[in-house]
Amino acid sequence: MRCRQIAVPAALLGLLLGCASAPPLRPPPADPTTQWVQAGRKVDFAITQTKVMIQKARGASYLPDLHMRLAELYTERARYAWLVMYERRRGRGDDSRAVEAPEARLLKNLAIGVYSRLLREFPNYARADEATFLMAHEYRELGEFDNMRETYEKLIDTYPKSRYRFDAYLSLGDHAFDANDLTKAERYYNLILAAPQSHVHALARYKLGWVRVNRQDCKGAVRLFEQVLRDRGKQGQSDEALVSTQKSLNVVREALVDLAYCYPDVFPDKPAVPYFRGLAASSLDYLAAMRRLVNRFTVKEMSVQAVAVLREVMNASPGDDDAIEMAQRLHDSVVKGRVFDQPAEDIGRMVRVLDARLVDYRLPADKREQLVNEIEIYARDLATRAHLAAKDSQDSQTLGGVADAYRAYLARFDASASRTEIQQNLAETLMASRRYYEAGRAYEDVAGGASNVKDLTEARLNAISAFQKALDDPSLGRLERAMAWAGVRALGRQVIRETPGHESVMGIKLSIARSIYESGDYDHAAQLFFAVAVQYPSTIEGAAAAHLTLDSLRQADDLEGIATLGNRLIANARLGNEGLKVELRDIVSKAAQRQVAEVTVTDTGDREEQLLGMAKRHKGSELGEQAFYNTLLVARANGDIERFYELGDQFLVDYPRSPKRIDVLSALATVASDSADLGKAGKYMAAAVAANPGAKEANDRLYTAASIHAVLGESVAAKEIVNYAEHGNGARVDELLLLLARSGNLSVLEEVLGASSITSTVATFFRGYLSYQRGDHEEAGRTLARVAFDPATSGPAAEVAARARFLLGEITYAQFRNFAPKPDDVVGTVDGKVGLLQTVNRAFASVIGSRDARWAMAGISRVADANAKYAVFLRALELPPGLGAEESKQLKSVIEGQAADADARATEARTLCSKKAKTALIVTEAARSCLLGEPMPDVITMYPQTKSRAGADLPAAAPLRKVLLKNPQDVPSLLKLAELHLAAGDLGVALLLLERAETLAPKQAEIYNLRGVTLQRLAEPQEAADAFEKAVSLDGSDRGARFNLAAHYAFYGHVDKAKAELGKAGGLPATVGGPADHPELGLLLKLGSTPETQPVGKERGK
Amino acid sequence: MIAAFLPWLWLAAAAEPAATPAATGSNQSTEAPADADERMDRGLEFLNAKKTRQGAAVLYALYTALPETDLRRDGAAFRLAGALVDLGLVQAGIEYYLEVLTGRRSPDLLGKTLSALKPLYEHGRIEEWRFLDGVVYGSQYGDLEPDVADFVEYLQALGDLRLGFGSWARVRLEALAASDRLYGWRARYLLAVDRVSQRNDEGAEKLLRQILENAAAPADVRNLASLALARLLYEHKNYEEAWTLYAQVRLPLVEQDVVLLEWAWDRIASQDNQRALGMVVGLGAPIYRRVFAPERDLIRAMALRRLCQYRAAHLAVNEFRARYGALVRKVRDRAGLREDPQIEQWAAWGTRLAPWARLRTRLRTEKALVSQVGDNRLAEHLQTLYAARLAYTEETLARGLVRAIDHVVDELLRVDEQMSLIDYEIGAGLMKPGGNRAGPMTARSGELPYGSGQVFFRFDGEYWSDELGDFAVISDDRCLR
Repeated sequence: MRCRQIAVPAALLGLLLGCASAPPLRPPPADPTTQWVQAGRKVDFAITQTKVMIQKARGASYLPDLHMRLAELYTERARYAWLVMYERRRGRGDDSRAVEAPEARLLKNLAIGVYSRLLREFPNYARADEATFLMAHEYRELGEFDNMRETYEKLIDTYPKSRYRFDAYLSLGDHAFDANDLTKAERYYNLILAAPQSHVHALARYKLGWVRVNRQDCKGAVRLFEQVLRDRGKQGQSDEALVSTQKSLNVVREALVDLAYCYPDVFPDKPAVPYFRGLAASSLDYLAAMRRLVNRFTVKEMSVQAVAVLREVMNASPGDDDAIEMAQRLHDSVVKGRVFDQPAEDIGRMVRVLDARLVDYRLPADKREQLVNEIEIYARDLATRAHLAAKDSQDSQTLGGVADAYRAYLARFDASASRTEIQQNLAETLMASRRYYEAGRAYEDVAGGASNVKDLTEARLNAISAFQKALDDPSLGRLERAMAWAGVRALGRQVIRETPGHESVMGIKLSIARSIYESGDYDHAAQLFFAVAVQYPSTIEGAAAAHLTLDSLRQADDLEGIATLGNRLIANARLGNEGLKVELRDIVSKAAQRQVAEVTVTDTGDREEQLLGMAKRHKGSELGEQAFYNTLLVARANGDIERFYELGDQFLVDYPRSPKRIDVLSALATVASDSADLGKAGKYMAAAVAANPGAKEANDRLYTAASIHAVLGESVAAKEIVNYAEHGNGARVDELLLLLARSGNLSVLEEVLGASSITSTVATFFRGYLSYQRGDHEEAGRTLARVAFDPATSGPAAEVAARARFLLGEITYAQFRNFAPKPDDVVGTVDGKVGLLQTVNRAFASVIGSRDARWAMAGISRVADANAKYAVFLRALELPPGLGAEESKQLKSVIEGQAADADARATEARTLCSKKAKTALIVTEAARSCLLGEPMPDVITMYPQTKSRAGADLPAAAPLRKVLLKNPQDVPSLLKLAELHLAAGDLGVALLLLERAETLAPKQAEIYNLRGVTLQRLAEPQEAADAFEKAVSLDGSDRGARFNLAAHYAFYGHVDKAKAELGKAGGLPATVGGPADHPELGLLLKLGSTPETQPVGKERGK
Repeated sequence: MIAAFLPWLWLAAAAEPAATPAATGSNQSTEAPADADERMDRGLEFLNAKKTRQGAAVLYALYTALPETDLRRDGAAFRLAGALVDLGLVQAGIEYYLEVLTGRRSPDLLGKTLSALKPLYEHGRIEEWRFLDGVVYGSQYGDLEPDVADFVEYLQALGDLRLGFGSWARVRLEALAASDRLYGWRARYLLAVDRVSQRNDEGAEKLLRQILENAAAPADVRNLASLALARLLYEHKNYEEAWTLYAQVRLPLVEQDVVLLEWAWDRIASQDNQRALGMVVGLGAPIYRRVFAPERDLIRAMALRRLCQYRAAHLAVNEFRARYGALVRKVRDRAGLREDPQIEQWAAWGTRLAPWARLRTRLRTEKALVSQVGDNRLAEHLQTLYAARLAYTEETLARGLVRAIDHVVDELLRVDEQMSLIDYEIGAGLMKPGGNRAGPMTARSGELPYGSGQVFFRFDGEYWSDELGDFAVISDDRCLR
C-alpha cells in the first residue's frame, strides 16, 4: 500500500530498488543449461587465474598446491561441460546419462596431465597420494581402465599407509564388479574389510553384499547389508568418501533398500515390517525399502507378506502418484492371501487414497467417477469377502472387524447402488458380533431403505430387538442408552401404527412403556404399563405390566396413583391370578402406609389438611384410616387439643372396628391426662377399656377411669367401680368408694353398693352411712355395728370404724333428741329422757375412748350437747296440773338440781373437749364447738353434698392444658389449673391436680396451701390444717399459706394460734375472697388490729 | 505502475485468447506459444506494479497456453499462485503452489514454493493432511533456505509422529530443536507434546518451561507452550500456576473460547468461584454466543452452588434447561436431530469437523471474491475450482456429521445429567453446611486501598476483547462453616 501512495519519481526509484514483497522481474531461466554454462565460465576464469599464478609462483613452496588446484578445476570444468551436454539431450527427451561429451574428455585429460606433472615434479608433495588417486579416478571416468588400475596399484604400492588406498581398493573392486569379475571384486572389498574400520568400510561391505547377490548367495548378502545397517553408528561424520559419486551414495539407505531384494528369499515367513523398522535409520529409508519390498513380494507372489508392506506404504503416502495402484495391489494381495485381519482399516486406506486424489480440483468428472467406482468395488469386494471368510466363525472380534469394514464402506460410499445390501450385511454382522446398540442403529438404516412393508417391519423389529439387547448391558454409555430407548419408542410406534395386528405388538408396547420408564417419565410409563396390563390381562406380559405400573408410580412417588390404579388392577377379574393380586394388594397397602407416613413426616405446614384430605378421599379404606390416624398424630404433635379430641371422636365414629381404635383411645386418654383434662381422660380411658377389655393394662385403665369419675361424682363411676370390683384389688375398691363418697354424690355410691356384693369394712360402713342418711337408723345401726369395732388400727378400715362408732352415737343422740315428752306422765318422760341420755353417753363413750382424736372430740362435744339439751329439757318440763304450790316448788327444785347437774356435765365435757382440742390441736367442727362454746349442729354431715364438675367449659384452662400436653410435668400450670377448678368449685378435680403436682414437686408449699383450701371446702378441716401447716413449714415466707393457716385456726377456735400465725405473717391480708384464699379468711380482719397485724400483701416473700 | 501508464496493455492481456480450455486447468497444448517469454514478462510487470488482477489474468492465460512439459508453465503457476493469494483467493493460490510442488519439474521453484506456502501453513490456511500426505511427507528437497528446510523437516517429523514412527520423529525433532530458529522452537514444543503422549509429563513440563523461560522463543510457540503447560499443571492439580499460564495465552480472539473455558474449570478446581463465574461472563461475549459450550452453564451453576448461592444456582440450572431443554428432549426422542440447524451447526463447529467447517466458510468467502478478478476466463476457472473444492469439503462435512452429531448429543446429555445432579445438590445443600474451607474471595473495589494496582470497573454488558479474562463476579460465599 505504501508503495502505491508515494509520488511517481519515488515510485520509480522504489521499483528499481524493489519493494520487499515484489517478485523478481525475471522468471527462472527456461534453459537449464544456462546455469552450467555460467558456472563453467566461472571455472574457466579460475583456471586462467591459476595458470597465471603458477607462472608467478615458480619456486614457491605452494606451487604444488597450485598445480593440484588447477587439476581440480579442470575436473570441475569437465563436470559442467558434461552437464551442459546432458541437459541439452534431456531437453530433447533423452534422459540417458551415458552422454558423450568431447569437451569433458579433453578437460579430464588436461587434469590427468596436471596430476602427472605434479607427481613427477613434486614426488614428495604431501598430497601426492591424493593426486595419484584423483588421477586414477579421471582415468576411470575416461574409461581408460588399464591406466586406472595401474595408477591405483601404484598408489597402493607407493603409499601403503595412505587413507586413499582404501578408496583405491574400492574403485578397483567396483571396476572388477562392473567387469563381472566377482572374485577379484570380492578380493578388493575384502582387503578393505580386513583393515581396521575406515571411511569406506560400509561401502565395501555394501558392495560385497551385491557380489553375494550376484553369486546367488542371498543369505550372505543379507548378512552384509544388515551389518552395514547395524554398524552405521560406527562411521564418523567426517569419514566421507572422496569421490563425489561415492559421497552422494547414502550407503545406509541403499543397504536397507537393497536388503529388500533378498528378503523374500531369506525370510519368507518373517514379518517384514518390524524387521525393517528395526534396521532403518529414518522413515524415508524405511518407506523406500517398503516400496522395494512391495515389488519383490508381488513378483514372488507372496501376497500375505505383501499386504503388510502395502499397508505401511499406503499409510504413509496416500497422496502419491502410485497410490491408486497400491490400493489395487492391496486389494489383490488381500484377496489372494485371504488376509482379512484388517478389512476396515484396509478400506480406510483405500478411501484415504481416493480422497487424496479427489481433492484435486483438476480431476475431470468422468475420471473422478471412474476412480470412485474403482475404489468402491475394491472396498465392497474386500468387505464381503471378509464377511464370507468370517461367516462360519463365531468369533465376535472377527465379525466385528467385518462390521467395521462395512461401516467404513458405508461411511464413504453412502450413495452407492449396493448400499442397501451392505447396510443389511452391516446390521447382521453387528448382531453376530454382539454389538447390539450399533446393530440397532444399522437395522434402523436398513428400515430407512426398505422397499416393502415386510422388509420394513422386519428391519424395525430387528432394530428394536437389538436395542433391547443392548440395553441389557449395564456398561452401555449414556448416549447409547438414550438413543437406544428413543429408538425402541420411535420404531415401536411405527410398527404399531402400520401393522397393529402384528404378533410382536404386545412386546413392543411393553418395550415402549419400559423406554419411557427409563427416560424418567414415570407417570406416562405407568399409564402405558397399565394399558398393557388391561389390554393383555391373561398374559405373562400383562402381569409384568401390572407390576411395572405400580413400580412406575412408585418411582414417580405417586402413592395415590398406586392406590388408584392398584385397586383397579386388583379389581380386574381377568388379570393374572390370585398370587398376583396378593402381591398387588401388598404393594398398594405398603404404598398407602408410605404415603401417609411421608405426608406425616413432611413438615410443609399444611400436612394436617393434606392428611385429612387424603382421609376424606379414601374414607372407609385402609389408606383413609391410616391418613385419619396420622391426622390425629399431627394434631397431637401440634398441641391442638380440641382438634385432637374432635378428630379422635370422629375417628372412633368412622372406624368403629379399626384395630387402631384402642391406640386412638389410649392416645386420647393420655393427651387428656397429660393436659389435665380429667373429664376427658376418664371418658377415653373407660372407652379404651371397653374397646379392649382383655388388654393387660385394662384393669389399671379401669381404675383410673373409675377414680376420675368417682372424684367427679359422675354416675358412670358406679358401673366402673362395680366392674373394677369384680377383678380388682379390694383395697383400691375401698379407695374408689372413699373418693366417690368424698365427691358427695351419694346416690352413685348407693348405686355401687346396691349393684355389687362388696363386703369390705368400707363398703359396709357406707351402706350403714347411707341408711343413716336416709333416716333408717335401725338399719344403719345394724350395719354400722358390724364395722364399728373393726380391729384395724389404721387405714380406711380404722377410719370408717371410728366414723361408724360416731354414727352409732349419733343414732342414739337422734333418739334422745327426738324423744317426745308424755303430756300426762312427767316421770315417765323424765325417765325416758334420762334413759336415752345414758344411752347417748354410753354410745359416745366408746367413741371418746377410741384413739381417733377427731371423733373422740366429736363424741365429747356430742355428750356435752346431750347434757346441755337435757338440762334445757328439764327446765322446760311442764309440771302436771293439779300440783300444789309447794309440790310444784319442790318438784321444780329437784328438776333444777338435775338440770344443773346436766349443765355441769355439759360444761365439764366442753372443758375437756376444749382442753383436748387445744392439746391435740384438733381442727374439726367438734373442736370448734368446744373451743368457741357453741353447740354442734344436730346432724353432722360426714360427706357433704358437693357437686363437682369436669371443668371442660373453663376457657382459661385451654392454654394451660396445651402447655401440659407438651410437658405434663409443668407444676406451675398444674397449680394454675387447680386454682381455676377450685374457683369453679370443681373440688375433686382440683384435689386430683394437686395430688399430681405433689407427686412432681413434693416440697412446693403452694401445692399444700391450695390443697388446704380444697380440703377445707370439702369439709375435711383436719386434713386442711395439716396441709396449711405443711405449706408453712416448707416455705415460711409464703404469706398466703400463713394467712390461710391463721384463718383456719381462727375459724376452728384456735384463736391464739391464729394470732401467732398472723404475727409471723407480719400483718393482715390486703384482700380476701380469692380462689386460693381460705373461705374464712375474713375472720382475720376481726382478730384485732395489733401493730404487727397491719394488712400486707399475701404474695410470697413480700 | 506500468499498467497505470499503459492501460492498453491490460486490455490486450485480458483479450488474449487462451491456448487451452481452462475449466479444469488441464493443458492439452503441445507447443509453447512463441511469445511465452514476453507474456511472462508482462504478467510479472503487472504484479510488480501491484496490478495483481491484470497480472493474474496474463499469467493464467500463459499457464493454460503452455504445454505441461514446458518448465515455464511451473513458473507461470508459481507467479499465478502468489497473485491469487494477494487477491485474497488463498485456496486457489494454494492449489497452484501445490501443483508446482507435486510436479517437481522445476527444482529451483521447490524451495520458493515451500517458502511461499510456509506462512500460509502457519496461519492455518492449508489443509494439513493434504500438505503432509500428498506433498511434504516422504519427499526430499535439496538446497532449501534454512528456515524452509526446518519447516519441511518439522512437517516430516510431524508425519512420522502421526504414523507411529516416534523414534525417527524424535531424532528429527531433537536435531531441529538444537537451533533457535522458529521451527527449532516448534520442534521443542512438539517434543513436549510427544512426551505427554508417552505419559512422560515430567519431561514434557521441563521442555515447556524451557520454551517459556527463554525470551527468544517466538510468541506463537510461547502461547502453545503456555496452554500445554497450563493443561499439564491442571491435570497435576497445580491450579494456581495453571491459572497464571492460562492468563499468558494470547490466541486469536475467536480461538480464545477454549482457553476461557479451561481457565474457568481451573478456577472451579481451585475453589476460586468468583473468577470462574467471571470467565463465564467472558464467554458470554457476542463472539462466543454461537459456540457450543453448554459447560458454561454447568460452570456457572457449580460455582454458585459452591458459594451456597442456591437460588442463583438453581436459576442457572433453569436457564440451562430453558436454553437447551427443548434440544435435550429432542435428543431423548431422537426426533429431527440431523435436520436441526442448531445441532448441525454445533456438530460442524464444535467437533473434529471444525477445520472442515472453517475451510468451508473460507471457501465460500473466497468464492464470493472471484467476481472481482475481472478476467472472465480466470473467473470462470476459479469458480470451477472453488465449486469443486466446496463440493469436496461439504461432502466430507456431511459424511462426518453423523458422528459429530452424536458427539454433540452426548455432550448435551452429559451436561444435562450434571445439571440434574447440581440441582439435586442444591436441594441437599440447603440441608448441610458448606465445605471446610472457603475459596478465595475477590476483593471489592471499595476494599482496595488507594494506590492499589488493581482497578475495578462495573460490568455494563459491554465486552472488550482485552478484558474477557479479567471478569470476576463478586458473589458472596453464603456457606455456613
